[in-house]
Amino acid sequence: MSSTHASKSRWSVAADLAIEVPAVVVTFVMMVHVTLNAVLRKYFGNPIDYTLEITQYWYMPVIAFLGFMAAQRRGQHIAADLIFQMLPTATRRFVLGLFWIVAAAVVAGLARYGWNEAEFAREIGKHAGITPVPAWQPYYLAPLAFGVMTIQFLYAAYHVFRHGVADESLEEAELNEVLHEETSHDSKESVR
Amino acid sequence: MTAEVAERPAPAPEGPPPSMVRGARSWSIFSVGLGIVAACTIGMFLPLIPEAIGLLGCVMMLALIFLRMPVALAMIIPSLLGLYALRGTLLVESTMATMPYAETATWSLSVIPMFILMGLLLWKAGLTDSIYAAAQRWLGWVPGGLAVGTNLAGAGLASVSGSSVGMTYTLARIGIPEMLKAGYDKRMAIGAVIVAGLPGQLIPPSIMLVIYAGIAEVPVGPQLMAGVVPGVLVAVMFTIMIVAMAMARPSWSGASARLAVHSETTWADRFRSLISIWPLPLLVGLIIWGTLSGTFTATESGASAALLSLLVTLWWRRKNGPFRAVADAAVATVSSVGAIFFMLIGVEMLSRMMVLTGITTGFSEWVESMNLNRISFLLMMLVVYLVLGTFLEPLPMLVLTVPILIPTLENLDISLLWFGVFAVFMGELAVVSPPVGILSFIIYSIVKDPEVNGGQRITLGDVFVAAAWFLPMALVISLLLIFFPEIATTLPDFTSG
Repeated sequence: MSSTHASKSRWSVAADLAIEVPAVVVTFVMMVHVTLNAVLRKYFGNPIDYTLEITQYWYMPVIAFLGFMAAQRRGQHIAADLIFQMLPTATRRFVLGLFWIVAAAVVAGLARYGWNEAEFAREIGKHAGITPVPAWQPYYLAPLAFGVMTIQFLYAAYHVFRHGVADESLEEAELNEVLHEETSHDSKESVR
Repeated sequence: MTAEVAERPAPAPEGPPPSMVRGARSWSIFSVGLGIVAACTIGMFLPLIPEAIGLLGCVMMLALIFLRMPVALAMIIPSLLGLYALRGTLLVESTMATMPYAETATWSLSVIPMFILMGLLLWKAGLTDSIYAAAQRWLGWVPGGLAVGTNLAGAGLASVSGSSVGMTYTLARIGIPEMLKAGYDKRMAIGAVIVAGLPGQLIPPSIMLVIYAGIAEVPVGPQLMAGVVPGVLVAVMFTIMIVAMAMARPSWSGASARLAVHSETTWADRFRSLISIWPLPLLVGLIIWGTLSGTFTATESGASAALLSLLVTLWWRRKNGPFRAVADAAVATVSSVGAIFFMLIGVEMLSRMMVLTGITTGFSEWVESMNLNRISFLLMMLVVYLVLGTFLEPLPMLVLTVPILIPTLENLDISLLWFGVFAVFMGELAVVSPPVGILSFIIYSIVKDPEVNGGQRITLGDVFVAAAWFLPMALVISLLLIFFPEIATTLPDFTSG
């Protein structure tokens, strides 16, 4: 039982790393690249070529599409639950389960048509505007991200139907997350 | 005797047991909620006029949001259904194929990850505590000094913080016990924390203003500049209000403690406290100067400020897990960016559906037929936003209303830059208003802790009363913005020459 749990945790950590590490790296690369370009342009009259295009057509899609998956994994997608809070656990399970299935169908559609668009971009060898910077590759992020989200939503539906819903509001969940961060921060400090 | 009583069967209650009643009620709420969604879906495919299809789409979206569907999907689903009902498969396919990439591959909104990263890095670096301490040392002597210090520390923190929840948590945790210990009225102490974050989303760097700029398609730089003066005004007005309250009712603000703080704090302490908050004015100044002078674009200002924040965090946390702090901030940035951009895809799909149904122009024509001028329309919107704020959070409120209002704003000659400031401020008020004001609930959760409340009983009602004490000033500020739009428009006009 514990080994299953441990292997699940390993998979979970691996999934987190696969999604978040590339996005974090690109975020930092973008930060340095854009700053360097601004400084070189302003004070040395020698900007880095195609900074705007690379930021727009490469960095942003990578951060955003990987961010979609990361937000879903961490339950960060923005939601409100005014009526939902009035429902007891039994009905919450049905509502959320049903919604996750519908959500899976929608993002599966986005993945499918996103794939068509990516194939089209590849066929025409899409570039960033009129520059020679190739820009068709990031189009594949749409089917990738939405494909993964389809699985995430289906798993969420399965989980909700099987285990029910945590009996806490979104506000409580958000506060608990902050409290958890603070506690882990404090415990790390006390260890040191 | 006890056993006898225990063994005796409980008298049968009259009518069905409470759990069954609650169950029946909840199932009826469940049925009504899903019934509305189903009815709207069916209705959209009936031979109705396009405006009715748009209206059904809006109702369906609200029902989905309230049933906890993520806001992005709650907008995407009715939009796709509406587009299908209006124009058939082809438009739905092209929307699903092109829109996600088009909405994410954007230069103007590339400032969003930079601002979020900067805020989270500074939070992890521990800037919050330092700013609070500095504010107390400098302002502890004025009437209501602890509350004034909390208010101004909040303004500074919220402007650079990516997490208003985190900021409120920290301010409430540190500020409320100190104020209560100093003899402050509990509602005064709580109110000061509640309003502390209000100017934050107006003073650059403001993520909400950038998101608004993306929705309204206005340039990001001038939009950020439009928030500067109103943000400062909000901080100043609440400071004046706190001082006035403390002078009128000295018992509310622990007058004796004020004198103690005044006598204990030396000028050396005050100046020393400034050393640990130097990144705050530097970063805000860098962004305002960079954008105002035209030296940097908004993204470049954000990127350089984020880089500086990274260095500050690594240095300040050098003996306390610097890389862990940076990694935590970076990971949180990625998921926040994902959540925002997923919602922006939903907004764009909704806007496309709204335009096709003619509901946006229909609303504009309705306003025109009502002979509403700029002032009366904005007063109406003030009420609408206050009502919306009672059950919606700021971001959903913004993304739901702005696409519908843009044609009307243009017809009434209302500056889109100005409206961004107004809408974001109204959104900020939503964070504290019942029944879903997230910050009020967070503060309530914190003040339940005996270490925070110092043995005083503080109810959720007290928290909402505290928010209500400060609401009139928020309304005065809103009216000032409406009657003197130059407060927001002068700086961007000056920037554009």
